[in-house]
Amino acid sequence: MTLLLTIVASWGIYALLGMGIVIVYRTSRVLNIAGGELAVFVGYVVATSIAQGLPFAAGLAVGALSAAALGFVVFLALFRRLMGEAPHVGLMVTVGLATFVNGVIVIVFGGGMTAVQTGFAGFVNVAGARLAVPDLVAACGAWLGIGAIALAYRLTNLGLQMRAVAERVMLSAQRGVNFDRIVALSWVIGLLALGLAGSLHGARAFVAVSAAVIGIGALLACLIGGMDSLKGVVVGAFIVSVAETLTAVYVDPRYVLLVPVGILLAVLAVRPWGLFGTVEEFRRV
Amino acid sequence: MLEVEGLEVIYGHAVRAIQGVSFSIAEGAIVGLVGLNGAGKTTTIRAISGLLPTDSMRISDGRVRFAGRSLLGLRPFEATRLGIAVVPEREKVFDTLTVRENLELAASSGRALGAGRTRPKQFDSIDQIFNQFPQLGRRAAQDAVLLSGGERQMLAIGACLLLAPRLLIVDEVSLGLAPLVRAQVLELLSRLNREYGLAVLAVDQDVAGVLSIASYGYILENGRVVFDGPSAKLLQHGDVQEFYLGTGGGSERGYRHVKQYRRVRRWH
Amino acid sequence: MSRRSFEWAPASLHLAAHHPFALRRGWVQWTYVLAGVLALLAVPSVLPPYWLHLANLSLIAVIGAVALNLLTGNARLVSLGQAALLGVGGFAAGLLVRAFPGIPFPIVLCGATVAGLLIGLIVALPSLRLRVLYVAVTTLALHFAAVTVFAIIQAVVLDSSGINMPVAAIAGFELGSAVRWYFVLLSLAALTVLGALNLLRSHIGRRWVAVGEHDVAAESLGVSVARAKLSVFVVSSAVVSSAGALSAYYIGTVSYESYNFGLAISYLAMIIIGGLGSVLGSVLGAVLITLLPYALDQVFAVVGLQIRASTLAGLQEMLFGALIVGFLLFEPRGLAEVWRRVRTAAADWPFRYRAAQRATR
Repeated sequence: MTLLLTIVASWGIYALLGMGIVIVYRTSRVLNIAGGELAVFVGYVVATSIAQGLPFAAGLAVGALSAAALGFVVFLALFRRLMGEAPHVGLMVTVGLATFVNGVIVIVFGGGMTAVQTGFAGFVNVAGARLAVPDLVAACGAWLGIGAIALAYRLTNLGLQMRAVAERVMLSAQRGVNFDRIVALSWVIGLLALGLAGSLHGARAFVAVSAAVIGIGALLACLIGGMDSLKGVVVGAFIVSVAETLTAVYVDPRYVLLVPVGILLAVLAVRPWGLFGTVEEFRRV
Repeated sequence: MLEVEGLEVIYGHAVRAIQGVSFSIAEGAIVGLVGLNGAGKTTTIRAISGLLPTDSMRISDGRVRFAGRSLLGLRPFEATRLGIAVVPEREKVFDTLTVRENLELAASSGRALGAGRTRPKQFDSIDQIFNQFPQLGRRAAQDAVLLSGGERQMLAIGACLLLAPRLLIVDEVSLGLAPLVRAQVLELLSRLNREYGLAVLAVDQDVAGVLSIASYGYILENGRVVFDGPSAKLLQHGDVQEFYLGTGGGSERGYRHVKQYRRVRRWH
Repeated sequence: MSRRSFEWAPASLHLAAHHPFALRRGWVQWTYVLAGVLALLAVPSVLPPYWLHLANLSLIAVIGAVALNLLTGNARLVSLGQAALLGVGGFAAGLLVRAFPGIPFPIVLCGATVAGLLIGLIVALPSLRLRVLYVAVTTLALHFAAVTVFAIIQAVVLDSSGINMPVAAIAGFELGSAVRWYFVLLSLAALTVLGALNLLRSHIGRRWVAVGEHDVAAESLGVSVARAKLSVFVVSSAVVSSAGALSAYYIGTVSYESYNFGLAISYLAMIIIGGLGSVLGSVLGAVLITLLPYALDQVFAVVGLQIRASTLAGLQEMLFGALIVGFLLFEPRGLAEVWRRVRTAAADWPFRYRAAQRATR
């Protein structure tokens, strides 16, 4: 039971992080390698505000504001100029961004290990198992966030516009969609998702420079599921979190990344575009 | 309403895709722009509606004015706001969205920007579009990828109508359509023009079809307008009949005549 | 030509048309070359020991950066696995030395190169079918997997905190001092640079560039995209791995901690800042990035500010990141392009522009 909660919580966080990356990829075709670092940055913001005395909800609000602002700034400063460039340019820019954010974290927050104090601590007894409350909070928070994003994407008009821009930019422009605004919005939402994931991870585990490794797991989830598929990333996150948790518990915590990487290679060998990704027009090689 | 003067589009650094193209579309008129593959029709439309891929192709000369405002340098959604709706040649619908979602997208944009423009009552809402195009109504919840060619054309035109346009530009009206469907689409455009005064720019290789509904036509060859005139006159012109309609033409078809075909002056 | 479009340096023939000196190698140019070679040879007698050490590090970085630029700059296969490959070379060297004590240095170097070759082949095969972004993230994932494997090897198989490397010796000539290392590294770096220049001018290199620009178009022109991708991966990995082995011998120890992701990023920074697709760029970038941390240290020492090591590291990362992003956004052809502009301006001075006839000859 505890194991189940661990899996559900880490699944949720990976899926949320992955969604933050995929939402941005779908509209602006930039694969955000800096996902982990950005998530940790917002996690630090939340942890610090709570440490300064704010209650949990207020701390999250501060984190959300800063994530949204960060998303907007990053889009405006960097990726607006890169619209239309080859995809690997954006990727390398995010590598630079990751390094930069890492440096900022070290300088502004010291880079030491800290945690997001949710204000709920201790354990709860459910069906005979001892469940850690922070894990519960993280799991609920992550899945609520995922649900909100999924619903907004499917049901709202803005979500419709985002899906249109993700599929055909020029046609959506012809149909009156202001794609500048939509791409900016997708960066903002993407950063919100990343920030929430980072904060929840901080609540459940810790916030530190090394925590940025969750970005790797999320990227693996994105690739396994298909880089442009939101439901794919949820499936990919499930695979990654199950593999990681089981490896950590039953084999050795040091080998935790090996299994998901192996799964990724296996999936890509069979379906080079991920499980739910858009099938490429040309079969390469 | 739409005036294009001396438009020139350059591809790369030296290749002129279109050169010195001038034409105009009056309010409530149907104008045909015809030509063979590679004549520059799609490039012209893209240049007008702001869709040229700016790094490799750009407008190097000319003026484009729509209802008194210049269209050069506008982003595509700004051109839509001014009242130009374009049905592109390919990729005219969103495959991953349902038919209804395709229309909803256009409807919300149309509501946002149609304020102050009178829209024909028939095209105020999605349900009315379904009235006009019953086949679409039957497939409302299906993904647009499942539609046939003719249904896609209907969906694209329907979406454009929801944008409250003043000018509807249809690129390759009948491409990939069966003859019966082709006739239906042309009839639809003609009816839209007659009943609601919607100006239409119809671009096609099917010269006979387009000129049957258009009042005026322009012939594009190798990036230049080589001939223009009222449709009736075009349809009777010997060169049009020979090179575009496949009828008429001189009786002499000797070897020398064919061999020197290129050097024969046309369009006089 | 639109400045906005991200145009990477094209190779060979096209470049020759714009290169002011490319096709005319008169005695002036050869004098410059001779002077340059003499200057490089005179370096050890001029530089103080610490700087010589930095020069050696830069030379190793040059070897790695030139190889990486072939892969990421010319063939445009973004790879984030350089640190892992350097580790492959280092660990191959270390394990060989452990297993066969007394094994000569050149043999170990060959062994490490072969190891890199094989790893490159293994990584390249599945990536043939993947889009560029997938390749990039896969190499990223493989980096972490590789580091885990190194840690396991070090802890489990070797049971120590690192492998100590013996002093390298080439046929009895011991590389005991920085000066001796300098000459050896200089020759190897020169070999790598000349090799890369030649490869890029050859049909192999042109195929790499074609595949990098547009692999589908290249395939339709008869270029075997698979073979091109394989060859560039294999060549690049082999060279980077040998650089790793060199570094292992030079530093003296092999330990998995030194092959972290920051190392991979610094190599990427070298080629981005230097200029993607340009061999000269790799050299400039490698030297700059290797010296940067030390230069930064000196700046703070000169200014007199006391700064914590961690803050310095943070500043360094911010600077790295800003440089990478800045060059990608504003100067995608990197320092090599800046150099070209300066050189053309100097050649044309006092005129501002080159006469039309000369440029097209």
